[in-house]
Amino acid sequence: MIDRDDRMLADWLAEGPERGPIEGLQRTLALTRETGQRPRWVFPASWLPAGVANGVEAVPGGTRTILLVAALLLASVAALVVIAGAQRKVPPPFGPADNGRIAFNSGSSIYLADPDGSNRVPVQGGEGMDLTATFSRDGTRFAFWSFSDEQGPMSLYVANADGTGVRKISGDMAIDWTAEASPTWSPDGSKLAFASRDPGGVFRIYVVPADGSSPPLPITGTDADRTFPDWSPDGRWLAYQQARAGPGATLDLVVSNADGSAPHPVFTQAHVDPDVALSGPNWSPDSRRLVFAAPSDPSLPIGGGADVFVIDRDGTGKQRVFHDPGGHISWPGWSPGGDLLAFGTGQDAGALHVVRPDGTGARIIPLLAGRGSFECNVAFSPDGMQLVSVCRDEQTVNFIDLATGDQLGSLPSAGSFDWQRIAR
Amino acid sequence: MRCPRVTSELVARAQRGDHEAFDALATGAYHRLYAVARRILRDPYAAEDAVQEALVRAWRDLRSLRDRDRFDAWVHRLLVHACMDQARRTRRRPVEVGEIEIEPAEPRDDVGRLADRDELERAFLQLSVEHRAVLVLTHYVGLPAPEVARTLGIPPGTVYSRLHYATRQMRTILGGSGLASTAGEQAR
Repeated sequence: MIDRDDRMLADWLAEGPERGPIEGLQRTLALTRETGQRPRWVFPASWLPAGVANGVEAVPGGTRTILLVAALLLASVAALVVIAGAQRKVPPPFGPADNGRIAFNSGSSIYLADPDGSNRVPVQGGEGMDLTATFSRDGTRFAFWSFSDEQGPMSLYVANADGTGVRKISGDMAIDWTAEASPTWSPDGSKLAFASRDPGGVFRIYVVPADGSSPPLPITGTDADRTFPDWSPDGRWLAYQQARAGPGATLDLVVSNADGSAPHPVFTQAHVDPDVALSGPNWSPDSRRLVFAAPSDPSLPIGGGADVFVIDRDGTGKQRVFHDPGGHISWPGWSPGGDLLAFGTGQDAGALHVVRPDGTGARIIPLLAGRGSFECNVAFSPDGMQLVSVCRDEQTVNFIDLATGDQLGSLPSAGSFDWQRIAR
Repeated sequence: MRCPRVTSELVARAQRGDHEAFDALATGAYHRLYAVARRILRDPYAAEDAVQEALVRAWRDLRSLRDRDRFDAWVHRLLVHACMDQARRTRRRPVEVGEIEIEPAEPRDDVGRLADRDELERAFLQLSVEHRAVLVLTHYVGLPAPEVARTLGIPPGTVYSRLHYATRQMRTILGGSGLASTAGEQAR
């Protein structure tokens, strides 16, 4: 009986692929090139004689040796405790993390608070009006736009996660862009990318060191408008929208290397109405796919239907995962685990939607269905257990339990919100 | 599989920071590790992530490996830990509870065989990753129990008890009729 069971299991386990994807190997090798090796001395076993380390009783070498080994062990343990205590653990740049503090706007100021709204503190600094706090992926800092004149140019600032150390990083650059679009952090937290209109009137993507040590530099050309950059979680690519004007105008989704080189469109449609933009792009946590929304038929006016698509980063495998006949779809977002998408729909009667990236399992969060006109952007909490909808017209941030759809709470906010990721 | 002596030399070079040596080690191990992770996790993306995590950790901590001839077993241990991490992340996804991915059917399968595979898949996925790992290392990789024990860093007795428990639990999940009964149906 047991033998038959074993044989059966072995036969069943023998089915299936024997080889992994080559690009996975290439990605792994590239990652190891970016990873340092830990020195031998940090491993406790390296302080022990080989016999001890291998679990074999050590050959006695006299009391002095034993005392020396014990002293070294104690010293190394003490050193490790001190080092571990001095360094705050940070989460990896992608995937689920624990929920930290939240940053949101109230009036013209940014506030930091616990997720239930308690322990609220304003961020001091900037140029009078501060908007759109965006945490770095390790949760140690956040960036925000600041300006003194609502119609005037903006500057980019960075602060520590507790609101201290506010510093301007965009130098003398007059950033001309919408304050509601957040800049995007590189996953290692060393740089930020954002869009801005250059003096010639063309929207370009700029990259700036997060410490402001050098001014922002454009990484895209002047032959088309490029906006809404999103940095891939593995740090290798930028995705952004590209709008070409003139005869045969197109609206594209482009993926380039992180330095702007080798751009290639992964999605293209006719750009009939210059006021129309895509919603997105947004990278999946594994950096393989993008989600975005686009008009179903660009020749129809706004409201003529829209679709949510998932597409591989090389432009293959495009899949429509949702169709909204009303044509109003907010920025779609990935869950931290990459297993779900969320977005808002509707203009006069809005709703939140959750769907798997293959289009199955679609469900509507009833909380917001049937309310008045608003536009809601939706995001997942860092732990993936809650949805956060930021409804501009209602000036609220709503926290929703993903499993039950129940509203857990809300905060008054002027349309900007972000959640700090912290280590588990 | 590469000769142990060559592996040992590559490990020694990689421990000195030689990326090309590690590339050779990783390339040699990648498909084997993927096949194991795929069978433990039953998910291509999670398997790929687990292998990546295991190999990056292998590079990072390579200098902790004293017995260079044990590189393969050591990486398998890292892989099983990475699989546990992957499974833990999956468990935290609330809407996936109860959803099980079914392997795509091969053209030669008949309906009955498909159902059996589906049942086996469901039963296997209800085991813990630790139990799945012991089954895969034993029945797929073909390691004897003492070697599974060394690979996972657990006592041989624990391997035997996990094998026994995992097989018994699969029988229970399959309705008490046992794996062998399912195998019999498969043969019909």
